[in-house]
Amino acid sequence: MKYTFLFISILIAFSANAQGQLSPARKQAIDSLALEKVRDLSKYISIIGDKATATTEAYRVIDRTLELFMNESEIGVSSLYSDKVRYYKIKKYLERLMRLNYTKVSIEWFNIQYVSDLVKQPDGKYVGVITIYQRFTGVKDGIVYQDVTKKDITIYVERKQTQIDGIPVGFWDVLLGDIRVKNTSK
Amino acid sequence: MKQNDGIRIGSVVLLLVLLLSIAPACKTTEPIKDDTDTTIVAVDSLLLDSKAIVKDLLRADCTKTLDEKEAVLTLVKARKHNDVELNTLIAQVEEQIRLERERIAKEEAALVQTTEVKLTTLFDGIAAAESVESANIQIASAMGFFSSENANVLIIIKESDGIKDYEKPSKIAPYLNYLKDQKKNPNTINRIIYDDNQKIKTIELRRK
Repeated sequence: MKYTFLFISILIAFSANAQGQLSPARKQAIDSLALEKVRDLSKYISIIGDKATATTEAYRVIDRTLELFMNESEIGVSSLYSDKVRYYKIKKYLERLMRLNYTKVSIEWFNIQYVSDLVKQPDGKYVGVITIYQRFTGVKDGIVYQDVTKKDITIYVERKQTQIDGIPVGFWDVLLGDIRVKNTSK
Repeated sequence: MKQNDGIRIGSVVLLLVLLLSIAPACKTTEPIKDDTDTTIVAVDSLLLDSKAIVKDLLRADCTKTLDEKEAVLTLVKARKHNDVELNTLIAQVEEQIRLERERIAKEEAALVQTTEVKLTTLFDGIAAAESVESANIQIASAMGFFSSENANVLIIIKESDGIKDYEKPSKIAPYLNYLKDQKKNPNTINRIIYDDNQKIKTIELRRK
């Protein structure tokens, strides 16, 4: 998975000239759409992790969250207590998040921004990388654990066409790929 | 709706047959005295028939649809009468049809506007709900406007150079839950498409 991510990064770097003929306004709209999906993910993660969320609601939100991702995508999990980063399939990660052994959990994402702009690939898809910072706070037995983790999310955007009620609909399908841990600090 | 269409088409066809069966009968009327008299009798009979048909259209209890009325007028006009009274009657029916169409268009526009206002209020309410329960109650109210939970939701994210860029199409149930989960209503209503029961089958939104 690490090599896949490296490969994607190299691909993005070398295909900057392959940008399509999208107008700047349209490109900006797609950039915003992808950023919005990451913000949506941030909100979903915060709902799932929140101990006040009812189990049925949490499972419903997990289903919605999975719709944001490409199949087989993974997310890295780190801790201040270990240098090791563990990678989980998204569903497994979300279910673990729901059952975290804390009495109170708060997860907040901030500084969400592109580190690699969306760039058109030879297959027509656009690929980019968005960085986020995650502040995790867990409370157990009156003890507060808190860390801040920098994570990179690979974004895939593809133009598709369909027809609904006679309306031709050209839409942008945005999917999130792997979420890699860059570093963790207090 | 298909059954109604059938009935409408049937009545128009029936009317056609009726008109066509009357017309030849008048033309083949046996001469009473000479050819000139026969012609006068035949034309008068056809004219009287046309007047009766058009007067029928003006009756308050006339059950024909506006399209059917227009079809009948077309047939009567095709007889090419040149009669002042008939022309006045035809003009009255045409005015009646115009006013009725105007009234229907206003009603439909009012319905769309009312629905838009109500839905916008509900969408905002769901996004701003202080609890899941409160949001769910408003979701149930909003669902009442739609044909089913699978009604289509289209979101225009950008429209430029004559090209509409949409987000991936969704359905109304997940969309309403999206408003609840994300606590935001980022779109305005752009267009509503109703089904035959005046329920929304497709709603097109536009990014604010």
